[in-house]
Amino acid sequence: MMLPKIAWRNIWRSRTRSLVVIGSVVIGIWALIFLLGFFRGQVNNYISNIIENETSHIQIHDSVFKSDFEVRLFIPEAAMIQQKLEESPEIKAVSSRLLINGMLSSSAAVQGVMVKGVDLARENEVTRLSDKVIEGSGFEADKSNQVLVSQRMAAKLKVGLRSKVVLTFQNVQDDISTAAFRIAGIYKTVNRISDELYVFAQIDDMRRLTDISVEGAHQIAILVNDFDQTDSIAAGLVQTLAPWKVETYKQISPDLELFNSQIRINMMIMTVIFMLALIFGIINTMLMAVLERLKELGMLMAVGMNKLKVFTMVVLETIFIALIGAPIGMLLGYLTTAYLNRVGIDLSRWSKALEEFGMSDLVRPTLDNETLITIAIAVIITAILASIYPAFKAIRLKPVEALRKI
Amino acid sequence: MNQIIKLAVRNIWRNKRRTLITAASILFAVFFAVAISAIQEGTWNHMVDSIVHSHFGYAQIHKDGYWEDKSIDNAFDPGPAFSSLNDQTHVTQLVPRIESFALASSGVYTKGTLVIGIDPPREDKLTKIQSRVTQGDYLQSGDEGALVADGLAKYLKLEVGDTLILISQGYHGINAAGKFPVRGLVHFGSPELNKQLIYIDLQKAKWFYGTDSLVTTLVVDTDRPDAIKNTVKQMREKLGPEYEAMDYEEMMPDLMQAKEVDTAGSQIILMVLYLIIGFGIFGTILMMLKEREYEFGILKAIGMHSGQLNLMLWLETIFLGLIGCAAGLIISFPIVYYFYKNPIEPSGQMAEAYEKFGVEPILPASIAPGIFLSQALVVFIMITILAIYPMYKIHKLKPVEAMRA
Repeated sequence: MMLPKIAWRNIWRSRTRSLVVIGSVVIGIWALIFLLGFFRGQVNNYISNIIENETSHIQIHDSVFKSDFEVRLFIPEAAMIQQKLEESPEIKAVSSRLLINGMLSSSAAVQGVMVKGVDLARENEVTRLSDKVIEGSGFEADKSNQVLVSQRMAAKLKVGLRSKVVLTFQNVQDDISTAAFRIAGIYKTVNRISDELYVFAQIDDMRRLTDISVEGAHQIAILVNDFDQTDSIAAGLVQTLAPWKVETYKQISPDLELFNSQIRINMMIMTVIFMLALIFGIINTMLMAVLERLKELGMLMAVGMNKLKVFTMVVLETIFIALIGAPIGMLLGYLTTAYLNRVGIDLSRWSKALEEFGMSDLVRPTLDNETLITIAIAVIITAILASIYPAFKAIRLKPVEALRKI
Repeated sequence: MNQIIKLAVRNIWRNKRRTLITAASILFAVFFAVAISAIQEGTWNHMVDSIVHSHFGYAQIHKDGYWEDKSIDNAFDPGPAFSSLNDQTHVTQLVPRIESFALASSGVYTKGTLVIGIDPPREDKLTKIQSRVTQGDYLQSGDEGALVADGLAKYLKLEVGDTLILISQGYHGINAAGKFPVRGLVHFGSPELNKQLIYIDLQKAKWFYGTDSLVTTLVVDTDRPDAIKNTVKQMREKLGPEYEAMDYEEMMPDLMQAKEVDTAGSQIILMVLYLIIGFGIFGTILMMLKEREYEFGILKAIGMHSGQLNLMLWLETIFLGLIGCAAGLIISFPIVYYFYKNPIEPSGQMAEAYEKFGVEPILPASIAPGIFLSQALVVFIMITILAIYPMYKIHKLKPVEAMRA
């Protein structure tokens, strides 16, 4: 019990020096936690946007539909499947869609588009489409041939609310047909690439225009109640819905998993780099602390303190320094992240760039326990590693020589 | 002065171990900073360059307002008014194009595409497009056929020799439709270009879109890409408000902003890294001051001015920084150079993920001197700030008390 006490007192003998090292640990860990939380927040931001706007939790298609998006590859009994899914207690919302490649032209310009034919009420439960309509009131009842286009698309076509646009597309017989639509609303999501591609129309109109039966759809998008159950629910659907292709968001967009694992590796690398940077400062300080106390250490050894004890004492001093700094840094980091999670970091200055990556401009830094535990372990390893060299220096002393010096 | 430099150098080597550890910490920071910045800068530059070289060019001229809506109705006559631009310095040629969107159809497959009418020999001089042909042949002047990006060809299940049908809206709303035999396939690194480009001959495009002698775009070829902003400015003055001249940064603001955000993010990480290293160096300076108090007292007592003493200490810290910085640069350069010559090429899922963001999956490093110099500058500034503390200490130092310590 004596050693920790001595080590503790030794730290405070040179207050400024110890405080500088503690300060560097505090700043390092604070910054590290903030940055890791920010990264995690960005990844979550990206993933939740992709799930909300693109993949949902589970999607069902004809098995080869997605390789060419051919109009005739629809699921004829989609309406029945949808009804069955809606009765399931595990499933929160279902939206059936038609996906039709085509060309949208206004009097001023022409754009290649993908038309999503949707039932708005159901689509809202899955993607909250109506919330993203920034102009106009959306589809009006009892009117046919209405479309919602993105703000970017409207700008490219030089059209506004109520403008008329012409859609050219293929029907089920592979004949090219055209139809005039009225713009009933202008929407905006946080993803540039999908905004420049998707146009929404009512599914009944699109069924009629493409000669797809009233029961049919190309895509059935599903949101489940419990996100963690996605895989098992999907596995169940694969059984009951064969031969249709059932995919989870991970299968639809494998880059999400990749993104997740990549970010985890990046966070590890960053932790290691920061810890290495801390090690240099700690080693230098502890080395000084040992070398300036040569006489004292020699004396301690001469009066009978064995090498193991001297070694332990130096290691303890280092660990104490780290242990004072780390919790303060972690607390500051935790508070900062928690606060910013609540208010969010406003990156609207760069919203255009973030749309390029499909992210919204409000980032909420997020911290999970895994990160905190990793950092705590990393700090202790860092302290031990940093103490070894100075501690070895200390026990290699010859008491007599050390005493004779100075 | 010489004497002070000599003193400073000797002082650093008095405590070799401490000097080496401190220098190593700077080396470490510089190394990471250079590696991260070089890969990032290189990847973005490659991406911008490949889009500029393969498609946009460094600058373009259109009728005012064309870029906003890309409407074929904004076509203009590239006649005599523009010949004067050809003589402008740094402009090597003006390459005409007709660009518009069309629905491309082959068999049962249909897709919206970007159809560009080009003057084959001049276009090749500008974008080296002939070298991108992966199958079949490049277009001849007056060619009746089309050149299709291979990503698009794959989607439309097109091969060389097949026939492609294009349908669009021509000049002032006339119907545009035509049959084009596929002469060849071209490959673009940028996934976004690769899945939507079709080239046809300029004469054929004039016929197809019904623009007569008009074109939508003049691409400016230059021998001085770095001076393009100035060149564009001069053009604007000559052309007047009826036309717009844009450089590549103005043509792709989203991409330039994405680059800015990405770079800013890693700059913050590097700043924090330097901050931690700075703390380490500050600790070293503190210890050095403390153990040399006696020495400073004597130096002051025998007549060294505070200014000289300050200069000596500043030199010591700067030397320390320079050693670490130089070592870091020397170690990082060969590694960065290696990745400049042999870019990292992610494969499989990783490559797909990059393509999804419209990024070519190739990550070359940049060896722009700025990357290396800026690290040296950061270290220099950091050290100079840290050297303020010893100056303050020396200023307060009382020789008699210091010698007694």
